[in-house]
Order: sequence, then C-alpha cells, then structure tokens
Amino acid sequence: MADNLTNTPNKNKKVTLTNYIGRSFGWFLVTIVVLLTVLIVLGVVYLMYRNEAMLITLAVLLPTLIVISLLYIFYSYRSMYKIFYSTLYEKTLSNYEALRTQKRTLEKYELDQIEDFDILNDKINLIQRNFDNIQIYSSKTNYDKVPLDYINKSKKTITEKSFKDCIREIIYCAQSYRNAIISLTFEKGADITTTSINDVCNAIHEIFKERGLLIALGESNDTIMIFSPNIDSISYLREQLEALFTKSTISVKTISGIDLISPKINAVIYPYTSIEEIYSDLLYSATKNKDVNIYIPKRYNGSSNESLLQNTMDINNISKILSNVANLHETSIDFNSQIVKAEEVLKEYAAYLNVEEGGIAFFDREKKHVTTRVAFNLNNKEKTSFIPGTQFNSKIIEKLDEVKDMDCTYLFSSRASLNNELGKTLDLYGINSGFFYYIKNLDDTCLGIVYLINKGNKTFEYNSYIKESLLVMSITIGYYLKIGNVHNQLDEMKVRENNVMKLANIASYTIDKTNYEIVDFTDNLKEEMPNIERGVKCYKSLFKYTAPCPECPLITKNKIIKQFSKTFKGEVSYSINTKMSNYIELIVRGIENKDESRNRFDSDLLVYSYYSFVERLKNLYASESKGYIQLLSIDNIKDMIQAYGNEGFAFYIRCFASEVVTKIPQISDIYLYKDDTLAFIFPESGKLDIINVLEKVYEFSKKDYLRDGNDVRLCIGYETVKYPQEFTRPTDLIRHLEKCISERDYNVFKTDYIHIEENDFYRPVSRKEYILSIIEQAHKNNNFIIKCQPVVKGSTKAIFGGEILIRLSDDYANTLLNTEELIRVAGENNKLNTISDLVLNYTANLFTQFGASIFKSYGFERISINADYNYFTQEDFFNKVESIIKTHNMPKNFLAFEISEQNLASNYENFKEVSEQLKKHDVNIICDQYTGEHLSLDKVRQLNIKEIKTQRDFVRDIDVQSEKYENLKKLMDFAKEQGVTVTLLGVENGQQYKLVSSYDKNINMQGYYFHHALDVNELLEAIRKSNN
Amino acid sequence: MILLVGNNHDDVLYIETRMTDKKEEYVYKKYKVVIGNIASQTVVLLENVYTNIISSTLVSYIIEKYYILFVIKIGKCLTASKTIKNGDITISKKVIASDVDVTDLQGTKLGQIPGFDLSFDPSYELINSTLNSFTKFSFATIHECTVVSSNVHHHTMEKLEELLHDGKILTEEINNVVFDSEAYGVGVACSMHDIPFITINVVLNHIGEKFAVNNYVRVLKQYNIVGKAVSNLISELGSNEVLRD
Repeated sequence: MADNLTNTPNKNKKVTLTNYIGRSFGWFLVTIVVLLTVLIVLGVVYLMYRNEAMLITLAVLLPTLIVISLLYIFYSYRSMYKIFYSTLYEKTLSNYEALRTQKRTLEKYELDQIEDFDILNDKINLIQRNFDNIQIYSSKTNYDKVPLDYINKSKKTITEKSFKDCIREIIYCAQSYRNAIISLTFEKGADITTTSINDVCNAIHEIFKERGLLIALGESNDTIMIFSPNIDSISYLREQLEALFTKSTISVKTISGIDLISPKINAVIYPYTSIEEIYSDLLYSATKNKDVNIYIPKRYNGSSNESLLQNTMDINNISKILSNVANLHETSIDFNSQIVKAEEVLKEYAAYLNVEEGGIAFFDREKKHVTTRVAFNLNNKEKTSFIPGTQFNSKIIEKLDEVKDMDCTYLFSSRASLNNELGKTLDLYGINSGFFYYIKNLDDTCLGIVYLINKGNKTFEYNSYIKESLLVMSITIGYYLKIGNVHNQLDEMKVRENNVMKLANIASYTIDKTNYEIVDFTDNLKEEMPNIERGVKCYKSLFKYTAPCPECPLITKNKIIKQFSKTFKGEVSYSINTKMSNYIELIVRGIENKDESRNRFDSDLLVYSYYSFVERLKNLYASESKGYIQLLSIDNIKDMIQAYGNEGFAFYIRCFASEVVTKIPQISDIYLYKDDTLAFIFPESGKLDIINVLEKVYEFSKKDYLRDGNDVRLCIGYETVKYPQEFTRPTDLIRHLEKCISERDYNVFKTDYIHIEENDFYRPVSRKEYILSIIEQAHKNNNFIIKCQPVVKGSTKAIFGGEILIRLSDDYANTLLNTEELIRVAGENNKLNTISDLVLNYTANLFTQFGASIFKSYGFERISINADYNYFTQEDFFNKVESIIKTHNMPKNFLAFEISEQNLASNYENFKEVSEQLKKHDVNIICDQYTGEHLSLDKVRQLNIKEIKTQRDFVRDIDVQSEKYENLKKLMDFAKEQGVTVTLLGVENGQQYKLVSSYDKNINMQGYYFHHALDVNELLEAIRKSNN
Repeated sequence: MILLVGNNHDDVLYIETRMTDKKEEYVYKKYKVVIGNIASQTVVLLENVYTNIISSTLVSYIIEKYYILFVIKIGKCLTASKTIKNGDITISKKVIASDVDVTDLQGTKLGQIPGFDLSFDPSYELINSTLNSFTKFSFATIHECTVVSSNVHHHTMEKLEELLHDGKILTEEINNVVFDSEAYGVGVACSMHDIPFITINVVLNHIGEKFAVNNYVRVLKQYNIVGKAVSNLISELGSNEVLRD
C-alpha cells in the first residue's frame, strides 16, 4: 500500500493528501489491532489450557507481529519522506530560491497521483505563465529593498557577509552598462585599526564618486569589498584603482616597529564574470599576485543554457546580451570567415533571447543576387527556413525594402502585426514573428539581410531595451560585413590592377615631391626592386644615388629611361598627376631589350613565364644561392580542361596562383615551367619549411574557385629538387629538372604526394592524410610508443599514479607529432577507435599483469589517459570502459581521463553528460593544463571534477622569481578552499620541489625532477625503488 | 617644534604613526595640520601640499604661528639621471627653480627671484645629520642632489629643453638632479625666516615614464627607512641646538 507511490501514476485513482495519510495509518492500525487481538486471544487460551501448540503459535506470531510492524514503519517512513521532504520541502525550497534569484523556470511537484499536488502544480503553472510575460527592471540604483546589513547609520558601509549574500540583488539594482566588484586585501593578520580602515573608505569615496557605490567591510578588517555600479571604461577603472592604491596605504605596528602596508587590489567586471563566479574569479585574480589587477576571464560562450530570458527575468543588463558584439572589430582577409564570426555573434544573441532561428544573407557578386550565407536553428540544427548557399527570397527583400523603418529594421512581434504583402511570403515558411535588418548598399540596393525569426505561435515581444540592443547588434553586424566586403573588393582590385600592370608591363611608384620619399609603389615594382621601401628617398632606394637624379622628370620635366635592374629597364614619366597634390605618381613603362624579345609574363595565367624562371635561376647561380626548386605537375590537366574548358582552367590557375602568392608569405613568385607544370623557388630554405608551405598550397589547390557545381580540383605531384647540387650551370639544373619530371614513377610518387628528390622521400602533401598514414603505419607495425609519466606524492616522492602518453613520431621531421593534433585528426577520420582501444587495452594489460603484484602492494593507485571530447563520442565507448573495468577487476577510480581546460570549456555542456556517465563507472576526469582563464574552479567542480593539473607555467621559474612562487601558493590555497586537488606539472629541479613541498607536503607533482616518461619496465623499477 | 611637509598622506604616514599626543588643526580651513610628539619633540605635520605656491604660503604661515626649529620636506620626485633609479632616496644639497624667468630685470639670472640667491642651500649641518641618520637604517647610497623645482609636473623633457645645455640643466649636472614641485616654495619661506630646511625625496619615476604601481610600491618600502631616519633626526636635533650657519 505504502509502496504504491513508486508505481506508474494512474490519473483515475487520485487521492487527496489527507486521505492518503489517513489510509496509510488506518491500514497500519487495523493490521496491528488484528494481530494484537489474535495474540491476546492466543495468550489467554494458552494461559487457560497450557497447550504447547498454542505456545509455538505464539512464538511464531510474536516475531511476525514485530517484523510486520517494522516493515510498516519503514515503508511509511519512506513514503512520508518522499512526500514531505523530497517533494514538498525540496521543491518548495528550490522554487523559493528561483524566485529570489529571479530565475524564470520553476520546478513542479512530481507526485501527481496525489490530488493536492495537482492543485499546487496548477498554481506553479499560473506563476510560470505570468513570468513568461513579465520583465522586471528597477528605475535607479536604490538598495532600499535589498536586505543589506549596514554597519553605520549613514548607510555608507555594509558587512561583507551581506554583500556576499546579496551580490545578485545589488547587481540587479544597478542599471548601468557594467559594474565592477573590487576587493582590497591587506596582509592577513596585520593589526589594522578602524581609523586606518576609515581613512581608506574615505579615499574610496573620494575616488569613486558615482552614486550607488557600496563598500563592504570584512570582520577582520583586512578586506574591503567595493561595488562600483558604473564603469565608463576599463582603462578609467584601472586609473581609478591605481589612484586608490596610492591613497590606501596604512601603517601597522609590528614587532620590528612601524610598517607601511598597501592592499592588493583585485577587480572583476560584471557581466564579463557571471554573478555565480564573482568570488571565485576574485580569488583567482588574487593568485596573479599583482598590486592592481583587473581580471577579465576568457570564458566559453555559446552554451544553450545561456538563454538569458528563458532562465531569468533579469534583462536589465543589455551589456551581457551585447557583450559579444564587441568581437566584431577586426576584418579578416577571408570574407567567409567574417560571415562565420558574425554568425557566432548572432547565434549567441539569439540564444540569449531564446529566438528559434537566425541567419545572415549577403550579396554574392558572382551570382549577382543576395544569397543566404549562414542560417541556424537553435532547436533543430538541421532545419533552417532559409538554406545556406541558396538565393535569399527576393520577394522578402523587395517587400522589406518597402516596409522597413528609417533605421533599416523591421520587427513584427507576431503574425498579426506583420505587413500583409510580406506576410504572404513569410507564411510559406511558417514564420510567426521576427526581426529583419536590411543592410543597405551605397546605392540603396540590398547588400544583405540579418534576421531572427520564430515559428509556430512564438512571439517576439521584448521591451525597449532589447529592441535597442537588436538595432545595435544588427547595425554592428551590417557594418562589419560591409567593411569586410569593401576590403575584399579592394584586395581584388589591387590584384587586378597589379595583373593589368604586369600585362601592360607597367609599374608605378608614388613619391612626396617635397622630400622625394617613396609613399607607395605597385607590387610588380617590388618584384623587380626587392629593396624598395616606403619612407626612403626614391633616388637612394631605386638608384643608390645620394642626391636626386639630375635627369629626374620632376626637375627636367622630361621623361627619362632608367635601368632599374639587370633585367628591367623602364621609361619614367609623371604625366597622370594633378598639380594640386604633393604626392606624385611616377609611371614606369617597361622597355624590352631588343635581345630579350621573349615575354617575361604569361598573359593567360598571369604568372611569370619560363623565361623569367630561367633568368631567376641565372641570378641565383650568380649569387651562389642554395635552396630548393618546387615543381607542381598538374596530373589531371585533361580532366580540368574537360570540366572547365580552356578559359575556365586558366581562370582556375589564375585564382590559385593569386591565393598562393597573397596568402603564403614564403611564396613571392610563381613560374609557368611548362603547360602542366608550375614552379616556385625557395632560396635559402630548409626542407621542413617547404613541406609546411606545401601543406598550405595543397589546401588552396582543392578550393572551389569557379563555384559552378563542378567538383574537379587540381591534382598535383609536388617534386622538390635541391639546387645547385653538382650542377655548375643553370642549364644543367634545368636538364635535371626535365629528367625528374619525365622519369616520375606514378606508383610511388602518387598524385597529391610530395617527393623530395634529395633523399627520395615520399609523403601525402595533405597534413591530415599524412597523420592518418602515420597512424595506419603505426597500427600495422604496432609501433606506437606508449609511455607513462609518473605522478608522485610530494611528501614521500612515492609514485602514486601515472599518465599514459601515446607518442607517434614523424620520422622525417624527426619530431613527435603533437598529441592534440593526432587525436583531433584521428577523431575526424574515425581512427580514434584505433588509438583509444590501444591505450585502454594497454592500461588494462598493465593492470592485469602488475595490478595485484606491484600496483596494489606498492600503492600505485591511478592511471590517467589524455583525451578530448571526440574520445567520448565514439560508439560504445562507455560500454568498452565498463567492460574493461569489470573484466580486469580494476579498483574504483583507478582509471581517469585528462581533458584540457580549453577542451572542457568549449564542450562544457556535453561534458556534463560525459562526467555523469564516467561517474557511474567510477572513472574520474582530471582538468589538465589548468590556467583558470577558460573555466573557474566553480565550473570545474560543477562537472564533478575534483582534480586539476596546472599548466607548466605555474611552476616554471618559481625558484628564481618570488612573484611566481607567490602566484602558485595562492592557486594552491584557492584550490584547497574549493576542495579541488592540485597536481603540479613541470617540477624540474630540487629547488622547485623544496619550495612546493615546504608549503604543502601533500601536493602531488609531476616533472623531470622525479621521472621522465617511462616505459613499462622502467616504470616498475621506479615504483619498486621509490615506493619502498 | 619641527615642521614636516608632505605631498600626500603616504609621505608622512610613518611619522604620523610614531607621533603621540596628537591633535589636529586646520589651516585656512582646508589644510589639515597634525601636531604631536616624537621623542619628546613637538612635531607639526602638514600634508596635501602641492606646488611651490602652496608650500611657500603654508610653510610661512606655520613658521610664523609656531616656533619652528627646522623644516623637513618629504615627498616623491622624478629624475632624468642615469645613475639614480626608482626607489632611491635623495636629499637636497641645493634647491633651484626651473620656472622662474625674470631675466629682463637688470642683473637677475635665469631661475633667480630678485632679492634672493639663485639657489637655496639647506644647512650643511642638517645635511650631515640627515646622512648620519640614514646610515643607521640603510646601507643604500643616499644621493645628495640638486632639486630642480617648479609648479609644473615634468612628464616629458620637452618643457625643460630651454634650460638644458651640454648635459646640464641650469648649469647643474643632469645626472645629479631630481625634480619636484614643492621644495622651492619651502626654500623661499625658510629663507625669508632664516630657518634651515632640507628635502628628502624618494625617486618615483624617470621623466617620460608612465606611473607604475610597482614603482609606487618601491617608494612605499623606502618610506619606512625615511620615516625611521627622520624620527631619529628629530630626536637628535630636536633640542635647541644651533643649526644655522
């Protein structure tokens, strides 16, 4: 009966709470009464007849009665606990807390087979519905309604405790853009008098003159907290804090006399620091051990839980909503990456407002129409109303142009308030409410659209603050994209101008006629005259004169012919200039020598010709240069021409060459060696540099330049030949190059492979393919290098655990591959199984072999594996972990995964689930490379993580820089306060060990001072030695 | 009585803490004066004194009101010297003004006020006694410098360019000069009343450097030494010994 609460709820059999309790006790009493009656009757009968059978029955019945009573008591207790504690008390408490902290979401009572809870849930529904439409904001900074505990009657100072308790309400009271929370901490234990503290408080009031300033004093007088409700600029805040520093020195009496002490001032700023993390960020800031420090953390953004209006009623702080807009300040070379950046901001904004969909459409100059560039749906990633890459509905644009406001926005809070004509089109998409921003071109045509939309019945109703923020956000995105677009166009124009000039064999440079300094010049002149520089006198830079050329056109008013370099002769004139300007553009028209009738440029592909290549080689030989020649044989030229036609192919190569030259600084010239072969020259370069460059070239060779739906891309064989080798003349070298091309073995030197002729080395040019090939190879040959980096206990130096390190070496570069890159590439290409299986099996085998014999008896308690989020996305990963733990009978918490702080931060929400899953199997997560920049310790703990491994920087140089030692100590204290265990990485010498262990004996450490990464035998030996 | 003059509160904080039987007064309703005892000597503390104009007015007033034996000005200074660095303690061997130019009056030199000498020189005995006091508390070199004083805070050397010649400023070696903005006013007032004075400055910055909290921290540390040395000086010279040349 009492247990029926755990059964599936049945709506037809609902009871009231009184009935339920009454019935429970009723049944209990009835049973007890019946049993007691039977017992008494039997007792009486026994006393009367002294029957042994009666005695036995009594002996059985008595314990039965006791057991039944106990069972009833237990079940009744359980059921009452569930009703009154788990449901009534806990849910009510949580709802009260939600109301206090102005959270929007209230929890419902779960026992729905009891009628009274339905009534309570109905009331919660009513409150919830009110909240959905409510927006709370205060009119001025007034703390009257905040339960602050004032120390004096003048209401100038409050207690630190009430400040801490009410920080949320205090911040909500402040209407301004940003608020600072500042702590002044004097040395602990210093004998600070109230007079001194009052002096400091007066100084605070003198410096922070704004209204609403709150000062909180700690009980021990060594901490003063300040809430400054308004920050105009962070730099001004810094100035204020520095001024405060110079006015807050106090004198304390010590055994040795009088000491002047000044406080450490730390500040955090809301909303850059969230309310929950203010204190932990202040504490973290203190670990930096600076006298004045403003800490602005680099937190992760974009979590779905950040839906501000969904979770909280606090909408006063528009700055929080707009905080990411500030990221749109740098334009990038690649316009698409700018669009992606703008999308991130828009997405973040949409998440705050809990808007369903959003996106950006922008004019495509090639397709000549506005195209949806990015679109997102926060609820269902795959379903967006407007499909990226397709034309944005022109009817919407047309109608928006007509109906938009003067500020180019159009907002419709619901379908009812939508323009009829526009409504017809939007109905096709099922859009119910939304916001459009029309990005206007200079000629008033549409350059793009920024939109946020809701479907279904969802409305778009926000107060004026939010509406203003919408405008700010969209205008910023609009201008950001406009500027990016203009930059892009200018870059293209510059490239085009350069190409036209190359074709016309014209170059130009601009000088200031007052002082002959070079102001600007074209790229092709730079190619001829590498020493040309802005700000240098033209006669000096171009002709090595010490005074202006006597025949200078500016002096003689006549054109002149000058030999600029050995190969370039030009006619210089200034005819296209206006007389008004001080800057004169001099045009250099190339004159070809009669004996050099061959064209130096290929006019089809806009690259240097073969003759230029030969000339360049001659020059390099003359200067006794050493380096490499890189030949790029296009293996699929026939396919390319078939797919794109002759002109299309030429265009493709032009784009490819232009991208390579503009975006890879190491490549300045591209030569057309022959019809299907391009060439670069890398003078004074090393092989590894060239490989790095070719990895980038490969990326450009696979780019879709024509965007005509054709997926044929350049397939290239990359032949790298050293020069001069034994070839004494350029002609000999060229003959050798010919041989290299003609004798290519396609079975080994495949397409998209690099061949370095010098040592006959082949590898895929794509970095990804290369890493995959290394993984394959290592898997095949089983030559993964697995080592274990011991973690020792600070007190005894005994090894208590180890970190498994998987290493793969790039034999050619003679380096180890970066583990993070290795895991990322493996993860992206479904090869992670290979690695994780290997590491897990290795760990399991290690445990099977030595678990009982060595690990247990010598106190080796843990093995940790480096991983990232990709690891946990593998199918059956958790089952695999479970099976390994069970099969090998591993003790609890023997296995742990180390995830970097950055990876944890960028997948924070996902890791909550991962952490839950691992917890089930008693596997821990360790936050690796912890800096505190991305995750506060609070957040780390929220992921159930109880251990951090600090970044090496924390320990580095603590033995030579006292400040670094102080920082480390503070971090250790701070972690201790938060209940997080710290393992210090990078302890490299005895002095560092002494310093750390003298401060905290129980800290765990890892580093070369104790052990290098060890293989199994070395590890066992080390355990035996150190753990005895 | 001994008068101590400081810029901000930190300059005289140490001395104030050492004082007993303190009482406060206000001069011209604006400037707080703390009067108390150190080693049985009465000390008058004056703080928040900025510029030569204010220092000369206030010091004159205090000298006229009380019987002052000598004046010590404590504060921060700037330098352009290569040999003097942040946190170094300097005492004045000479005080000259850099913003006084009445050379159109016959016979008046650049930096000279008619009727006064070109520079004000602290008493030789006071310098010696101060140096002796410092040697009891610090092994560091105490620089004896010329204080170039003006009502202008010199953030850059540009404003001083007119006074610079051949590595010297107003004929004083630039490497042996510090800059402040109150010493000259103290000098004028003391000269008018024929009272010895000395200035003790701690170097905050080099001219042209921005304010840095670390530099200020170094100055504060030195104020402990300055405070101890000045207390010692007061106890030793506070009796009515003759300090005047």
